[in-house]
Amino acid sequence: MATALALTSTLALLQALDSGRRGWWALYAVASCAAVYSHYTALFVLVAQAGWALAVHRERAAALLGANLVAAAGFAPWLPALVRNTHSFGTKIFELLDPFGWHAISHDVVRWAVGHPFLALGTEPGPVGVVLIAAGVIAGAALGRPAPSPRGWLVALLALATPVGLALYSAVGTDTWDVRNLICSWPGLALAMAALAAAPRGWWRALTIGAVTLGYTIGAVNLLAADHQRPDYAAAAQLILAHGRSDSVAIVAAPTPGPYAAMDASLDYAGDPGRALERIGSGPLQEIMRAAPYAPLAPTPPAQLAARTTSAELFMVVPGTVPLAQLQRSGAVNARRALGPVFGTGINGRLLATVYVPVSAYLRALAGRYAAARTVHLPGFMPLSVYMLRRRSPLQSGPP
Amino acid sequence: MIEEPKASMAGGDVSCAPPAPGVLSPDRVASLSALRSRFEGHAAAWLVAAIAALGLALRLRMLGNSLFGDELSTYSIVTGRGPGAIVSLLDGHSVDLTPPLSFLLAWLATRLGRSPETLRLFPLLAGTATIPLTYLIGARLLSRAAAATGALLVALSPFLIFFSTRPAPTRWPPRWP
Repeated sequence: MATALALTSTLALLQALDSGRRGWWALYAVASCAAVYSHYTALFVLVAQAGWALAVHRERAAALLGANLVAAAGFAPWLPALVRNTHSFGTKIFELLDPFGWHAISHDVVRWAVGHPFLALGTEPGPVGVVLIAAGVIAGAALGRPAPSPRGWLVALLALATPVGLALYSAVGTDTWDVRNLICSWPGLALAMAALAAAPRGWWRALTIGAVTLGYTIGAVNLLAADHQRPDYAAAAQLILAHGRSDSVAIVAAPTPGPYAAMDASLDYAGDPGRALERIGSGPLQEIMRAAPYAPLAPTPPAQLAARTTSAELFMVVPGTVPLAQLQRSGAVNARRALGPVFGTGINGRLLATVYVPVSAYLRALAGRYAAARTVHLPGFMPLSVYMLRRRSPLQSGPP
Repeated sequence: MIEEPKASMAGGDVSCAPPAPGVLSPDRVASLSALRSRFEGHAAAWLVAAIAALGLALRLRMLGNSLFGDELSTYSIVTGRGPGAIVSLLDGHSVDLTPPLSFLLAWLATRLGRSPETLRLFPLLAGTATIPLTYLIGARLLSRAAAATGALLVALSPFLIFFSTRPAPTRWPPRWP
């Protein structure tokens, strides 16, 4: 949303600079204001393009200033909230989860430019895709040697504004560096790469443009694969609806920005919003809903959760593909093996690996009252396992 | 007497002079130029429409995915609340650090129905609109070839495809479920 609004603002600015018509200036002001109301990081692109316009079209300085004042006035009511957000504890989370530094920049900028926010470059777009994109852009720049022009500089500014602005802001101010916060500069990056690839003449141009587009096409086609989609909680909900009883309990274990978990939404969308849903590693939903933002809440102890588990069937939805028997023995799980190369390593791996300890404790606390009936693995860039357990009859009960 | 072609082509007083055989009059040249420009404009419009259709098709593949990660914050914020309550919640009373427009549009979309697809409706529309917008800006700043290539890269980008099917592109601290 912010990207489209920032682009609308850029287009309106170019039209306004050329024509001087008030309608374009009005659209520029409204689109700029709406872009920042959609995402704060749009500001980097807006500041860069306004600076360019001021430097290249001094004759329009008054109109440019007026339009920006209107946009700023439109955003003024939200300024107190922006200040509160800036000082919120939530901004500290960026530092904890993804500390800003050279590693974060190099890792994230490449994924932003050619890849996917949650997939490794080796799979999205893959090594062939990366080589084709790089070769097309570098060869285009070397063979075409595009001459710099004022309008070409704007393209470069649109491409660089967000990564450079966010890096500077994170270096000297609050750390808000994150790959997804770079999104507003992606169209500028696309135009910059296209300008370089289209710079040569004749067949060379066809080759360089072809290489870059083929590289991205490989990435787009790879993205259609089932294991490159989001975790399939909807399938887990459908499984419970199809094979569970009305009183079967769903149990979910995975971090969420919440308060609702992915299974809440999937059961709701599947038409089963009233299903009992227990949360391993967290307190009850009602407690979370009542609590203040960022309030540290104690999770329900697994033994307490197990003690109140009495339904005839349980459906446990857990990230990864760990065999149930292994979880019943121990929570020490190799995250990379269980979750794959994307979610099993780095920050995601460390965060999700903590899932298995309380899950294992809960299974052991059931003390053999339930027997494994079925396990289903669901594909996605974070695979899921649904463990179906049935309550043993008193005669069957025993150690797990 | 027929004027010299050189005179007619040199920009002299040609308004009354008939063109030499085999030489196009300035009016004819202007007319052909306008025709060519119109043809190129139509061809470019069709090309951009085709690229946008491709981008839309790629984005539709992910539209029905389960909500995941930050999307659950959007779901949590818009579920059971009206616009006033959403704005109030985002004004420092939630774990969210994002301004309200995306959430208000997500709320508006959920009036059409309750599904991941409706929650992602506006990001999908905005993400697809990014394709022709990139072309229009590229055509003004660069060349038509570069603009069309840039629009195609936007259509094919895995990064943008993913975020065109997400209600709000930010990051929030995770809680346990």
